[in-house]
Amino acid sequence: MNITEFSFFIFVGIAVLLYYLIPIKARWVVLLSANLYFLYNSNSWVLNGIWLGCALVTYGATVAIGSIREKKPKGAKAITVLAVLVVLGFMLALKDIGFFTALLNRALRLIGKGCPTPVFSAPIGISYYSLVWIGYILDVFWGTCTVEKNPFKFLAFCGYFPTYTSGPIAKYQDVHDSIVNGNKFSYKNLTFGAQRVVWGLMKKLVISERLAIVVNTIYEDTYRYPGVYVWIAMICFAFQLYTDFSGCIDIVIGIAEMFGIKLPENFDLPFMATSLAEFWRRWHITLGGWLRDYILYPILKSDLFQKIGAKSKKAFGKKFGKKVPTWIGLMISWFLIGFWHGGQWNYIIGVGIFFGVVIILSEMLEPAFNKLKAFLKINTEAASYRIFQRVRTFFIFMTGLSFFRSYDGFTYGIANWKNALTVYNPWVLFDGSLDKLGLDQHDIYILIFFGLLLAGSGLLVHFKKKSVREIIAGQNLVFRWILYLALIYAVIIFGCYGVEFDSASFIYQKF
Amino acid sequence: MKSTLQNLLKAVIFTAIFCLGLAGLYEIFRWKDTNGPYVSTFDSLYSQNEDVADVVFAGPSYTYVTMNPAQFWEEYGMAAFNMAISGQDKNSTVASLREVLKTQTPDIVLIDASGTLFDEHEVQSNVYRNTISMKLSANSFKLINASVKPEDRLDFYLRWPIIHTRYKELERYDFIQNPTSIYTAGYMYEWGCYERAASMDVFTVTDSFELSETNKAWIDELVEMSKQHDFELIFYLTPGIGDGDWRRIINGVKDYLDELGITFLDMDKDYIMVGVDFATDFNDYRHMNYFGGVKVTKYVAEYLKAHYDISDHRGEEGYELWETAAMYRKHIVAWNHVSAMQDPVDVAQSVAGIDNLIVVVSLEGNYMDSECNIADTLEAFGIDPQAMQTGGTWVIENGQLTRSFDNTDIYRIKFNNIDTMEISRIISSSGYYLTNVTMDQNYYRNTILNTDGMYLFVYDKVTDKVLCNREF
Repeated sequence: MNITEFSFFIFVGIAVLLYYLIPIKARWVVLLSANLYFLYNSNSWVLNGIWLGCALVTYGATVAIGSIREKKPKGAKAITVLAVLVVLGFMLALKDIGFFTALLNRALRLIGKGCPTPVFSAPIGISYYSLVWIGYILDVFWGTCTVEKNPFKFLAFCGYFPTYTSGPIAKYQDVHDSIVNGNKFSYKNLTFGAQRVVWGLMKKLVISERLAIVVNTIYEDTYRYPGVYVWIAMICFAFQLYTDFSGCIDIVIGIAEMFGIKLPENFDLPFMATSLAEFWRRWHITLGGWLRDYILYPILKSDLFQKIGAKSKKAFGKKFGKKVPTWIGLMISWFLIGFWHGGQWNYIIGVGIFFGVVIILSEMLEPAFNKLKAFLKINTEAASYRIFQRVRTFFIFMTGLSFFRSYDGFTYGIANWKNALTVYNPWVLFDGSLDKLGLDQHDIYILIFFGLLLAGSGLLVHFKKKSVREIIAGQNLVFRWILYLALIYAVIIFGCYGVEFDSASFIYQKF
Repeated sequence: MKSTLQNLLKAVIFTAIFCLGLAGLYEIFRWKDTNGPYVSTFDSLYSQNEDVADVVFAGPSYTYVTMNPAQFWEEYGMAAFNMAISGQDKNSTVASLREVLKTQTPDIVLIDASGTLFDEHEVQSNVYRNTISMKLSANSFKLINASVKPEDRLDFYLRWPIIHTRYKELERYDFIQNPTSIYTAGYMYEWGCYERAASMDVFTVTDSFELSETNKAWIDELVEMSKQHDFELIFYLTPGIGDGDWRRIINGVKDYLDELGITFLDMDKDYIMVGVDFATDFNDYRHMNYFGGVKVTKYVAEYLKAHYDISDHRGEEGYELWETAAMYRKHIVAWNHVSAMQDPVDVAQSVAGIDNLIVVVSLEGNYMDSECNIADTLEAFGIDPQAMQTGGTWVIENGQLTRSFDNTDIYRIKFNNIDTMEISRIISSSGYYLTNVTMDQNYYRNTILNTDGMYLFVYDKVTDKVLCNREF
């Protein structure tokens, strides 16, 4: 079952209706049933068995940890490690067995041997729910959250279906109560949720799927489409990924809102970021937050890193040396971000190490840059400078994505860059060549219109510091309804869906 | 509580407005092609009065280029309806017939046996033509279930997943009904000429393939329907169809129909009796043109007349569709006839008895040098032949002279909301008179400028076609 399918929305509609028809205390039962129905329609029996097995391990472990944490901390620690290893182990085994087998084969090749690569399919959302469950286990161990002792309520939380497509990675503390305690009917929640769903569908079906046509056409044959074409593909892919991923998150958060559940935001106008570090605080926020809370901070607090900090201060001086353990921790985090996307080097480098290196380098070189700006008398408060910073940030992000998009491997990404930098063909922007990339005039007008609409709404949020839905809700009813209807009809008419399109999956669904 | 009720009411009203808007948009975006662009047999069927068709045809394109309801009406007074659709397969034939039987109680139903020659649609557009041109009903759902892969069915039930991409191709007739779609009553006028030879297989191939289970089930289902709805069932095959193995399948069909005692008009085999000329009567290898269709229609009509008592409804109320179809036929035939004429007198005489024409005759410059007979042409149009001495421009509408210009003047004709014509006689910068006819038709501007000679412009409002636009 896919969240852009009509059948999914029928399913959600029925679930919402049932949710509010039954007493508030029992509403979590509807969510639990919806979770199970969604999983039943999305996974095979074997994969659902694995999911249930891991969920029960998590449930059993957290109940045990909660009961012995005070009295037997070592036992609690052992259970925590074991439970995390089980959840993590299944995630790595099912998602990344190919990567590990490839590494093993490289080693075995040295002695003239090799082994076949097993092929597994992973349950839907494994990358997302595994992190949620691991976070929950650790929080229980650290005592930062309560333990859910009712196994059915635990399943209602841990299997919360809307997040299984592409997240967001919600922490137990953020959503548990809302899921298991039930929520009162709110007309605002229902309508605002529905509006956000339609907005998400617009991003995905109207914008992202059209950009995908251009991106796929060029990336599938960069020898035929070199130079400027590659630049176009790289720029379009950045926007495609944003509209695809954030569109999915809008749908997910919108559905949750209809149930009265507030999921954490995953995006905060990332293209308004003026630095890469800020960008990653605005993009895939919940993954960054998870790594910060469960990987980076624990690492930095560890004895090993404390020792590294002390030694580096001696070696590099107090000011520079105190940053060294943080940078090492950051590099580990960035490696894991890349690896989380999948055991492939294009991910590990494209959305991992590359960004880590740029962020660390920018911190290292910050004093030098500041001196340069002072020397050149650059007004860093000017709007033009902020625009420059945003363009620069976008360019760096786009560069990382160019490797990320090179599914065939890292070398393919390098070849693309070579193609982009060495072939001079700017005339394709003017001689009608772009018309042959799969989009006709109608598509281009639609892209421009809805792209401007998206950008306009982003600017409105940025400058008014208020959600567009709130702003529209303050308008007169006729105007509001015309806007809502126009958007719904636009999605129905201009959306890329149906028999002629393959728009079912989201990019981040496969991670 | 009050606020909850208010919100509930708002939600209901919003949903109702949304549904109404969507229904309105559906009318614009819906699939309107069963036989060609903006020609839909279903549109024609749905605009029929109830219980008027005595004879119904069903089949694929071989049928819609041969069985002409206008001719059945004009020459025999038979109210025949052609329920043919491109690539109509067995399932579609049954479903289309069911759709017809919702509003009509025909005495005779004739089915094109070429449905036995294929089991699946060859092109995707024919799946759309057959399934989603039909109104939403249990019948259309049943047809979709029979014709479409399970994973695609929801798209066909909802239709929007298929039709929404039509925003790229919307035209005038998406917003207003194409009258031709109604006028033709399922028939398609084809004027091309494909010269081919008759296939000897119809005589030499005498063996037959055993009827497949699907074909047998199809015929049995139609026989069952004929009993339920009390109509006479006849199968037929149009000329030029059955070569080689197809002929063997058809022979098998004939054997089975003989067993059941059902009439089979094999015009493919009896083409000599039909009077088919393979050099002139085909539009392509298997599809006949209008001239071939005239012969087939005549043959079938004569057969029906000889074997059944079919009422002549000409002049009766409720049969406006056939009257219009016959009128349209007259116009479209005139268009085909006139557009090839070389002599203006012939043009004038040919269009004399046809309504809804706008004729512009213009004499400018050295028209006296023209080799054609100007005086006779003017007279044929009802213009005083003496006028050729002075020159000028004349407008004849519906056979009546409505405007004559012997000096500068402008005359505007508005056909509908978008189509207009402006006829003007002005003095050029060099001091000569000239005639200018500007026609905005279907968003296209057609300008005719006569500065020297006799010019004839004939526009037919019924067919929306220019019959004549030339200098003589």
